[in-house]
Amino acid sequence: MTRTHANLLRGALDLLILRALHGEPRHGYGVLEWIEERTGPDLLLEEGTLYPALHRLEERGWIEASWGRSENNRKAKFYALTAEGAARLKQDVPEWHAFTAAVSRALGGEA
Amino acid sequence: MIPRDPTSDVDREIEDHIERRTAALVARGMSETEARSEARARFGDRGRVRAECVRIQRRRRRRSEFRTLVASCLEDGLSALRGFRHRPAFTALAVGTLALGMGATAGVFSVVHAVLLRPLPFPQPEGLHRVVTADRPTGVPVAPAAVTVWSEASPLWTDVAAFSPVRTALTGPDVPRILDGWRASASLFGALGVDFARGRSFGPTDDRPGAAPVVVLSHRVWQRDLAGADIRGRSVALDGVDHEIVGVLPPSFDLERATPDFVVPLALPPEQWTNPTPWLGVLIRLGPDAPPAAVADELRRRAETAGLDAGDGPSPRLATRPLADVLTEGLGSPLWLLLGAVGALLLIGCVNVANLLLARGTRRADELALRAALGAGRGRIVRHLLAESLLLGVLGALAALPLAALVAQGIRVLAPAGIPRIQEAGMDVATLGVTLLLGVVTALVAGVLPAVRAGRTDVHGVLKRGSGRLAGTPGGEGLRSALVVAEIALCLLLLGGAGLLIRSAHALSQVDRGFQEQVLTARLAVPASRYPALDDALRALDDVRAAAAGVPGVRSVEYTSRVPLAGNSFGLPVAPAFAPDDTEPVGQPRMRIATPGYFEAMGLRLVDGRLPGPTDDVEGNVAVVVNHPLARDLARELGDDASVVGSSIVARGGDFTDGSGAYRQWTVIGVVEGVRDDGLRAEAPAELYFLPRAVPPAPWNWIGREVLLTVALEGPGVDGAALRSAVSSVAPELALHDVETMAQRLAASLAVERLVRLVMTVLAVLGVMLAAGGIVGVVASFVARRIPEVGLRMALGASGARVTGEVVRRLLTPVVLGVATGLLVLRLAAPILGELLFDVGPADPLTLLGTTGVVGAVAVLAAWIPARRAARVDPIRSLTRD
Repeated sequence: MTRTHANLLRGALDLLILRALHGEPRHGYGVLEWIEERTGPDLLLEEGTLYPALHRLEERGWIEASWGRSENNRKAKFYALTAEGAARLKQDVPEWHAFTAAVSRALGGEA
Repeated sequence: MIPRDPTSDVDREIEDHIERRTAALVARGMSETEARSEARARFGDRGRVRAECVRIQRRRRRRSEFRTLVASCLEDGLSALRGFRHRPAFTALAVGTLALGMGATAGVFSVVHAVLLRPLPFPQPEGLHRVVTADRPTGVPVAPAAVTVWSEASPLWTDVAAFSPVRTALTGPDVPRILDGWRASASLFGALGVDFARGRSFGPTDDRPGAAPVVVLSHRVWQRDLAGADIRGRSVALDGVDHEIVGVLPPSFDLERATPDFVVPLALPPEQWTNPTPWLGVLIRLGPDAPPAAVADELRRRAETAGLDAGDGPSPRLATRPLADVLTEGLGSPLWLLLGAVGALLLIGCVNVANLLLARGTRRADELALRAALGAGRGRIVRHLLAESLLLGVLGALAALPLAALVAQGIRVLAPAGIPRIQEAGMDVATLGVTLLLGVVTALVAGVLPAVRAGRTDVHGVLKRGSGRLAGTPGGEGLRSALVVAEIALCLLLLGGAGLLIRSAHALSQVDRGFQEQVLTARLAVPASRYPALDDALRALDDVRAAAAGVPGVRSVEYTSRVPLAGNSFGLPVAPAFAPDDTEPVGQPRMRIATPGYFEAMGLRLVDGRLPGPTDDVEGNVAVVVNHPLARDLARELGDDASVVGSSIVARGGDFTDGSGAYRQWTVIGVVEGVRDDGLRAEAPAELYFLPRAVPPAPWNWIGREVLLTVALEGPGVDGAALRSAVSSVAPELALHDVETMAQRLAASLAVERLVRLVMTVLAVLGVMLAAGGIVGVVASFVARRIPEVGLRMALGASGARVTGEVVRRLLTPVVLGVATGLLVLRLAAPILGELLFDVGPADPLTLLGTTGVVGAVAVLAAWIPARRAARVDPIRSLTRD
């Protein structure tokens, strides 16, 4: 994987995590489920890569973590969007659309 | 959330993920084992994920802890600042006291640093030594023959350089300017480690008699007199002789008078290199690991092998001494003493501030107890108080900076001329750093005890007692007494030191100088370049004498090679004429050339025999005058019944032989009183006086044909300009230099100790004032806390005088302890103090008794003022105050 590819993917993953947590706190597996439901099973070849991304977002203050109980009364670490994270999401989604649209246009034109 | 244990937190999270994925796979129909291994596979490299997550969490924790610390320090600082704003008097007093002590200390430190601590600006300065003896610690004259044997290669040293001071006039279109230079062997530059940025060193052909004259200029002369012009192909006229400028020394080699204005080759004729008469200064560059003792042994061994006096006879043994020590000779003790004294002043200030903080802590006991009750930990309270004192210290240090610059400047202005590098003292990086460090250290010293004590405040006690006013917080008494002990001890130290110096100065003023102070002296050179024949030079000197004698107010004009206090001169081994040549000489008296009338003009008293007359000053005459110390040494050799006057002596110098090679015999015609030639502290050294025309010509060359005119005055003074014009009327090319009276020379020789005495006295006065203020503060706060008790006792019938007496008496123990401590420390400082004292012991009973009396009186007075207030308490009001 090239560096650019990795950065692009990381940016996309960050955005997906923020979106997954929008309106509802989830644990790591819940975030993964949310992403899989919408993108199919193949986006994250290694599920483990989700966690460094989560912790980095927490470090930036865009999400915050706390231990709680999940639906089947199991202990789990839940992540919730902070106000700052919500603002980021609101700003990044249109930017992402504009970016991907531009890239697709360019690639489509070439093809 | 920041997990307390990031590793287990991350492990649990990952485990949870794998469990959930396994469960989901099982729900889709996989077997448990299959599902678990599939879940693990999908997760990927668990170790890497775990490590990365833990790393991120650890980083988060570090940053967060740092932010908390900064925030709480900032909070402490801000709250301390707010506190200061509400107590401007307390703050100004504390900051001012600290600034005074720190400013003085930093100022003196800048001088100590500039003069003593900084290494000399030469490469590997520690390897650069002078050849000395115990009684000539700043350099002993060495025979050229010794330099010859020392110059042969040795594993113990790399370079041996010989030099001799020379004074010449830089002649040019303007008025001639006198330069102090060195004649030196070419090895000088190698020994010093000069890296010539401009020009070159002396070549092997330069250092030979008859070679084309060359000169190396110092940076200061090159800048001042040649405006830093290109030196290639340039020459300067020294005493009218053109010298090609071959090089310029780097600016770092300008050390006031310690380094020469210029260097010319020594250019000794080959036969001179076997001359056993000592007259050269020697610099030696030791090998990197050579032990100085081994070097000295080898120097002596070689000198002895060559049949030279290696200083094992009556004269002390040769040794080497680092150049840095030689250049700062006599400065170490006074400067360290001053630093110690300002340090004592700073400590008094420190104790005062500690007491202020303590008193304030007591007043704030309620506030602190409340804080503690509300959950502030002891550490939090201590930190809060420490932040406060730290801020006081830093503010004090900032306020001290201008004061330090002022003190350094004051010392620079008051310091006598010629102390190497003292003019570079100022606010350099080291001084700045030391000032700030002092601020922090002082703050901690002053703040730590009060803070710790406040942190130990007994919450229940204070809150229960109402406000603790009845008895004060327990434990404060001992600490306050300790502060009083410290104040008294430091105060006694300063006052005792100043007292001893003043007593010593008085003793010095009573010393018999042995010479007239109201004699004007002036340097005058009659260089060989202008008067190749010595006769012409002597005639020119006589013309100058005659012309100057005509100036109004002048009684007589004589001259000598050296006046008293003018520094070392050549030593000549002397023995009775009957003693065989291989016996030890009776001593190495200082050689003087003086006109017959000099003795009377300078006020040297005749002890025995007669003074020379004009008829004695002729070529071939053998009359000499000895001084009393030399006569004493001679008398020991001659035996009891023989008289020194009329006896024959020889001077064992190569230039003092007659045609057959035997030493010339001289007849002692008179004995004069000895003169304290090395300053008033040192005993008079032995001296031997020759008459100008009777002495062989060679010594005239040793002294560079330079004499000191001694002008005896009729009235209080004489017009220097008139004297100069009288001289130039008979010899326009000659000029007088360094015109000063013997009184001025004497003052200059005492300048360092006058400076030390002045500064010490100022410090002692400041110290007494500060200490008195501090004691007033301690007693006042003690009394303030006792007011209800005092009121009660007065209501029960105690008299006011009795109450006052009791308060003052309570101070007795700390005062006695303080005096004892002070006396003890003064005793420990005796070695360094003793070096500066004359005829007064460091334990001089009169001074110590007086000092103790003054300190005791000040302490009692300082206690009495607040105590009297206590006695005026109105019992009713004090008891109902709460």
